Amino acid sequence: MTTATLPASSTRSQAALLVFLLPATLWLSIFFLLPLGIVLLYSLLGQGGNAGVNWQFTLGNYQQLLTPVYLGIFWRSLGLALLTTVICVLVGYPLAFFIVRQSATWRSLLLLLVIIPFWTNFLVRTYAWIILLRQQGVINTVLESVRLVDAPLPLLFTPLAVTIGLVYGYLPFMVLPLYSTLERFDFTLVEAAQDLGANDLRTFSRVVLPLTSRGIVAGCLLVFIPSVGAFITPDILGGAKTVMVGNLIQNQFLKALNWPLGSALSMALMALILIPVLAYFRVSEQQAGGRV
Amino acid sequence: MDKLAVELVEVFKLFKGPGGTDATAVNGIHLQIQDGEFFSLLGPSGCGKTTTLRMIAGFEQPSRGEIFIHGQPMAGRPPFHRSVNTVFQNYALFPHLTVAQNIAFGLEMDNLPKAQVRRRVGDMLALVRLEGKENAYPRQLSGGQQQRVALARALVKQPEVLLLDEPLGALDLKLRKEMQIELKHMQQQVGITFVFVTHDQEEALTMSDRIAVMHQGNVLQVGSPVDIYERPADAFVAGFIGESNFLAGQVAERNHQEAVVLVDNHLPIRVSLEDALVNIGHAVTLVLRPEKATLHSPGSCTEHCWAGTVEETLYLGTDTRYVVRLTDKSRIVVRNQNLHASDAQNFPPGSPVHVGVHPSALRILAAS
Repeated sequence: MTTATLPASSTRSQAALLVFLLPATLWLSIFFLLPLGIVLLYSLLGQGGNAGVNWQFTLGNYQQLLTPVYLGIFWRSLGLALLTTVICVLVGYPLAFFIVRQSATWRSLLLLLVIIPFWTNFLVRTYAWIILLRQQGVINTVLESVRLVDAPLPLLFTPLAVTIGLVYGYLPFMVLPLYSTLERFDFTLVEAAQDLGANDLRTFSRVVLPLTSRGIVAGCLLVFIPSVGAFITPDILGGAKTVMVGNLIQNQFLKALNWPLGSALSMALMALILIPVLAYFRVSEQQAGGRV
Repeated sequence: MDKLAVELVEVFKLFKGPGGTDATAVNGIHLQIQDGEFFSLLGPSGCGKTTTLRMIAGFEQPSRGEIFIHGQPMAGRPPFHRSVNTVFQNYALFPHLTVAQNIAFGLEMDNLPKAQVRRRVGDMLALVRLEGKENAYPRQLSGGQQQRVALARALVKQPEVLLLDEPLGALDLKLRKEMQIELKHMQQQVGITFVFVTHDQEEALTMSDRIAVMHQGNVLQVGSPVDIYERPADAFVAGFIGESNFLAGQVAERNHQEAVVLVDNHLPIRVSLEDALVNIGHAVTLVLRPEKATLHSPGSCTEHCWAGTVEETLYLGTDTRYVVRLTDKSRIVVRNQNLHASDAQNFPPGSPVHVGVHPSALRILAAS
């Protein structure tokens, strides 16, 4: 419903708004939308020589994705990412809860301990796990010397190793949003629940959990999304047996030089991520709308 | 003989201080709260009243001593195993639940059938006059309404004792006064023992059957509002409850019923000896409530008159408050009702006056 004339100051502030938005819009267009468009375009073209393209429109790339090999890799990526996310919740929530209940000095110290790994290069941290997990690595050496095992366990180059690497790498992304939510949580609600007859378990499930669900979901998104598309961790810790979508894409672009296929894989990965994220936003909007 | 609703026997609570030292929040107190009474814990911030309440609720365990509820020892029992419910200072309503769900929470913890839960929630909503608000969320309610939900949520479980931790603190004055009366009536209607924590002595006097005045972890006096006000046990109670005048002096004469105290070495004042054990020569402190003295123009005061000069007047609508200088050292505050509209202008500052004080209006506090 438009009215006759807007006051002059309003049009001026609208113009100012557009000017402020221009750099960001320009940046996003050139460095995000444009490349995205190119990738979408490439996914529909045929493979040409030397990482080039054959200007013939085809759905063949997408058809290749539907073969068992590729589907299997997608499935595994999804599974490992979900497993990583679940483990991060199960480990991260108690950790965040514990930190929040400490005194101020201890809290800062513990949070620092959670963040310090970020100051080290991600590659270096991932390589460190090789030293721990390989056959002559630290873990196996300790287990053998204590006679818990007879032969070294094959820990490296397994889905287990990849999961460990992903959980280790992304746990802080779960802990920090959870900590933030828990810090704002009113703990007198816990006392109120106990006063009304709820034991610890029921207090947690009926009061604490529902009111911190926002933090959990935020943490899950921050862990799941990068995990699905991870390629460094499965590359270093997974070996040839644990290939994930990220590795596939990397392969197609850098080794096989099949950019159209790589593009199709990328679009498929995006869809894989966008669908749950959009579903989450739709659900949380509904919840927010229903409340007011 | 009725069993005591709540009994505290030599209860201590110590907290670890920052330097590793212990801070004594509650210092060996004894309390006996009768069944069905409205009992208040009154005192300034930091006196230990909230800590005491939390120990009764089970959120803190006493460092030493025992707590009994209807004769049952509460040692080691967590809050969810005590038939005691609390109305919190900040209400602590569950923001993700509706009013009805909040009230129903405690009943659901008891695993009551749904129909019964619905009925009792409905009854409680009627009692606190919030019918129609079942499906509202706490953030949609005013402060006063939230407070009533908190009350309903605690009362619906029909606890043996209801604990209230300064529940009226966040309300504006008028609403506060209304809620004080409403709470008092509700307690009489429901018949449950209320233990009410407040720092507002007027509030305690209005609502309570009995009051325990606390200071620095100790219970200084327990009694009815009249007892506390008219017969304060010590200087702190006299000063904390209402306004008091303190006059220091020495006992010059005494007989069976009265003594003459020489205030500031030259003002003789006659005091009724109710239960005070003093002898000639003792240094004592006299307490006088401002409303128990009358102000007269010189010459019109008939007996027990002290001469003085008005220093300040303060018009309070119902009364006028005068500060009268009696001697070089002592001033007293006198409050007289404004019975006639002109009363407020009778004694402007500077007027010579006679203060009339009957000996029974004064009390002797134990010499310190």
